[in-house]
Amino acid sequence: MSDTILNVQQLHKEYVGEVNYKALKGIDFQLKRNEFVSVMGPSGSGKTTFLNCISTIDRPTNGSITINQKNPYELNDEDLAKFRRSELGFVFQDFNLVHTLTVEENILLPLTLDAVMAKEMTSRLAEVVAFLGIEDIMKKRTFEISGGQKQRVAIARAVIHQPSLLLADEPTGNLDSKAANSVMTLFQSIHETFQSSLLMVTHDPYVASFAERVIFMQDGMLYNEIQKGDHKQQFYQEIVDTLTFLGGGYHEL
Amino acid sequence: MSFNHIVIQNILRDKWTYISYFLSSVFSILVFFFFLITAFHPMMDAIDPNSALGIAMILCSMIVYIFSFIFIIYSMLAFLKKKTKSLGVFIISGASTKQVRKMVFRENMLIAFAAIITAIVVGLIVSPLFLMVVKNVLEADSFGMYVPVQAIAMTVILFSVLFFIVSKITTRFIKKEEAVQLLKADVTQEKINTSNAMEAPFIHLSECSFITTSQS
Repeated sequence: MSDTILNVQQLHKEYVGEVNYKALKGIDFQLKRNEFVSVMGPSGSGKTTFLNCISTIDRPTNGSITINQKNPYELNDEDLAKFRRSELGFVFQDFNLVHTLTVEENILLPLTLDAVMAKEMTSRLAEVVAFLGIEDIMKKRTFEISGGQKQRVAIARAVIHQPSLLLADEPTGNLDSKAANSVMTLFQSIHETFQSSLLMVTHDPYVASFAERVIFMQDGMLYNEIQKGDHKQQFYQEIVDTLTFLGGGYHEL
Repeated sequence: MSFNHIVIQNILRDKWTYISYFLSSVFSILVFFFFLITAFHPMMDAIDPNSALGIAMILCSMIVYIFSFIFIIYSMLAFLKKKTKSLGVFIISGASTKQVRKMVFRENMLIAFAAIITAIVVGLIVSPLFLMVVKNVLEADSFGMYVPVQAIAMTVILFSVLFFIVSKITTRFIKKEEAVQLLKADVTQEKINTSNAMEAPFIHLSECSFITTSQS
């Protein structure tokens, strides 16, 4: 087992259309096992494209991505699906829960698709649900619960198959500050308890300060990175300073 | 939780997405079934199958069948479009294209069988009334109700085949990339904008024509 879980080399992404647009212009990035990294940058800096390339949603134009020594873009459809449900977990800004299924069924979805035995399903479900504190809403439908609860369910679905890499795209974007705070605390404890690697895109410096390392992007390139020191407060200040320096939509800070 | 459980819940808990598709299927089966009831009526034995009327009957039933084919494919595609985003969620949760196709295929077949049964039951209830109308149109002395075993059998077989083929074809139209792209909010935004841009000229055109007609 190597130390690096995610290795991105010379990642290029170009959107071809009426106007060609280079979203990513050569990104090199390594994510270590058990590391929690935030990606920040102004709007249009390519941070979501970067995450989508890693999450196998957007095929990169050039460059290579290896997750756990495997390049997902070289796999066929069947293997890619298996790869997604064994190695990757996704948390989105707008939750993306299946509205025809209950909370419980949503969480079990990756296991069902993997045809896991019913007994193992129940034991894994119990573990994840207890950890996330969502026992009370298991039988509810997705439209009966609040945004913060939806995101908890989405997180439960993302971690139930114990992925080696958890990807989150603006996980607090649709939440109020209280729910955002509890979701982030949750991410942190998942990171500590399950020893999973986390890559999160956000534009909120407070949310980003939960990570151990923050990388900044601008115009499709990596611009800077900050390691977390001893103090979260100081880390937060450094993030804000870098953002102010970057400009682009952060004038209000 | 099993795979089939998901299929059934998808239908039961999302009735309104499925109802228009279900009703249009029932309608086309019903039309075909009424036609067969008339065509296979014992009184129709009097007609020589080689006569112009006999050939017309056979031709008509073929046209109705082909029409149902097109109609059902169309409503199935419209129905798939509604579902594309939720299929994206399944794919991102680790479903392969094959699994997604299997799921949509089973959903379609379940609806198809429900539609066939509904259509035949409704058809049997309404057929005496229908036959009375036919009697008046044909100015026949008696054109009573009978047990249309042949019509039922043919409707069930032909529409089972039709739904099987149509479901197999339409599941081929599920584009994995497209479904997954819909998960990205910003991309959908762009798509909405472009579609507006496409429609805008037509709206303007209709506005212009409205203004000119109101002035004249």
